Formats: sequence, structure tokens, C-alpha cells
Amino acid sequence: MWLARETERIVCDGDKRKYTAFYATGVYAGIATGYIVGCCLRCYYCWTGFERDFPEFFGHFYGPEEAMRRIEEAARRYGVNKARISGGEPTLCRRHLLGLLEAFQETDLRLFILETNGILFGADRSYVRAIGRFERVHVRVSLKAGTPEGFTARTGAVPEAFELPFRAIEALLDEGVSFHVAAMTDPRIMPAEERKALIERLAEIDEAVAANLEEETCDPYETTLARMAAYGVDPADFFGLGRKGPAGAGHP
Amino acid sequence: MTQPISSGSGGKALLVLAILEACEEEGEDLPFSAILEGLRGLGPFPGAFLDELEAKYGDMPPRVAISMMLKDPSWRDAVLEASRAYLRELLEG
Repeated sequence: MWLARETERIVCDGDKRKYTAFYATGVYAGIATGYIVGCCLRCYYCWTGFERDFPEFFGHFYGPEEAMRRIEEAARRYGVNKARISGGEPTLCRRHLLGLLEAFQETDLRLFILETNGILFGADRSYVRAIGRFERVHVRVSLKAGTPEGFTARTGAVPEAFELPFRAIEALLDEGVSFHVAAMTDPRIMPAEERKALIERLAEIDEAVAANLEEETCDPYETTLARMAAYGVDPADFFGLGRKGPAGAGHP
Repeated sequence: MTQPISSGSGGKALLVLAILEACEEEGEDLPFSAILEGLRGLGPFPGAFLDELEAKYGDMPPRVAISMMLKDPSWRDAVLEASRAYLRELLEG
């Protein structure tokens, strides 16, 4: 939670939040996107820009109405009907997010996809309850690990925080929020036994949630390569392009 | 493909199981309608079911569509039954 609060000190200002761009992209078969600054995890395989690591240097502050107006403009320009904020952790700057979703209710867009790591939702159930009152909002919780050790090794966060995304999932179920779970289960990152433990843990919470798990794979974005190298993983080996042969399983 | 699953709901659970399997292959960048289109003619799936899902959720991302089906009284039981069968595949397969 320390990193979340420190990052908020930099990227939030009242109900304003830092963004670097507004555009649409082909993921989810087309979605308008506000690119935000700031995250509370430090995953070594992360694809986002270096705004994540140096939030002081990037972005401009936007209020929720102005940000949604620009997202809506991007949706109209590219002919898409879904919206999200991406590139950082959307649940930082709570006042901004709730204002943004309020503004979304006034649009004719079909769906807002809220992609989160679940840390802040898991720490505060009232935040999940506040999200549950909005129409046409779907939450995607992205899990990083199936064990506390794996969680700390991949994200840099304390092992105690491992439980928070699972608490978020329980809260989303209890509050009746539309959501699904994703997980970085790429076998080059997560060993098979850990993947199995993660799915079993999800199934204990809810079988349908576990069966609808979206499994993510790691792609060689420039920032991913740089972060891997800084972390001590050779990207060429990881992606099977090194002289040492194909990638091995179970990188931390 | 293991299918210890009933056809008591008119084959809805079998269809949802096929959807879960297809989603694993296709990911989230195609609309749900593309998943459904791929299943037409592939199995014993009544066209009326596919038409209903396409009309309700066709423009949604697949995982979002499945989450919405779980809240849809006419599909909830089928999703629950298919989920149990799919989990067996996932954990034992």
C-alpha cells in the first residue's frame, strides 16, 4: 500500500489524474483508451511505458469529465463502443475513477472495462461497493501469481499483499459486480504447479470464475525487454532467441 | 475433449463448454460473435441458442459475455454445469 499512496501523491490531484494520451486500439475488438500514469506494482514483465517507473516525468492532469469527453471522442473517431483506462492502475486516484465512471453513465458507449490488479479493491470493500452501483461497467482482475513467493518475486510487493486480489474477487462476487479474472500464467513466468494452485484457489472461491479465467502470455515489448534485463532475466533467452536454446520454465 | 456433461438443458451446457474451450484458443481480441460463428456447424448446437447469444452478447469480448451469461437466468445453470466440466479438463488435462 505504501507504493500506492506514494504514486497517488504524484499522479492524483483532487479529482484529477495524470494521462499521457487518448486513443483507440484493437484489443477487445476495438476500445477507446485513456492512457493513465501510475501503478502500485512493479511486475518485471510489464509492457506499459516508463511512465510506470517515472510518473513525475510524464502526463498532464485531467478531471474526470474532461477525460471521459476525450475517451468518448476517441471512440467516435475510431467507431468503437467500448472504453477503458489503461497503462497504469485505474483504482489509484479513487475520486477520479468514481467521477470518470459517473461521466461514463452519461455517454452512449456500451461498456467500460475496468482492468485492475485488485490490490486496492481487496484492501477496501467499500470501493468495490461504490463500483457496483454503476451500469455497464465490467471489472477485469489481473492476478500475478498463485503463491505469495511468486507474487513478491514478480511484482516487488510484500508477500502479505498476495491475498488482496483474492479478497477483491470475493468482494466483487458478494457485491454482484460483473467481472472476470485474468492471470499471467505464461509457463515461462509461472511454473505449472503454481498455475494449478492458482486455478484451484479460484475454484474454491467460485467454479464459474475459475473456468472463465483469461490466461495471459508475455510479449516482447521494448519496455518488457528493458525491465527483464534490469531484473536479471535475459530477454533473448526468455523469448527463445538466445544461443543457449529455448526458453526454460519457472523464471521467478 | 472430456464431456461428462448433461444434455438435459437442451444442449446449452454442451454449447457453453465448447465456448469455454474456444475462448482458450482465441483470446479476447475477437468479439464473442466470432467465437459463436466458429461453432456454427461444428457440433450439435441448436442455431436458436447461437442466435440468442449473438443477439444478446455478440459485440462483447468473450470473457465479458460469459460473465454476463452467468447473470442471465436462461443461461446461468448451463454456465455452472459447463464450468465444472471445463475445470476438470483444465486441472486434469
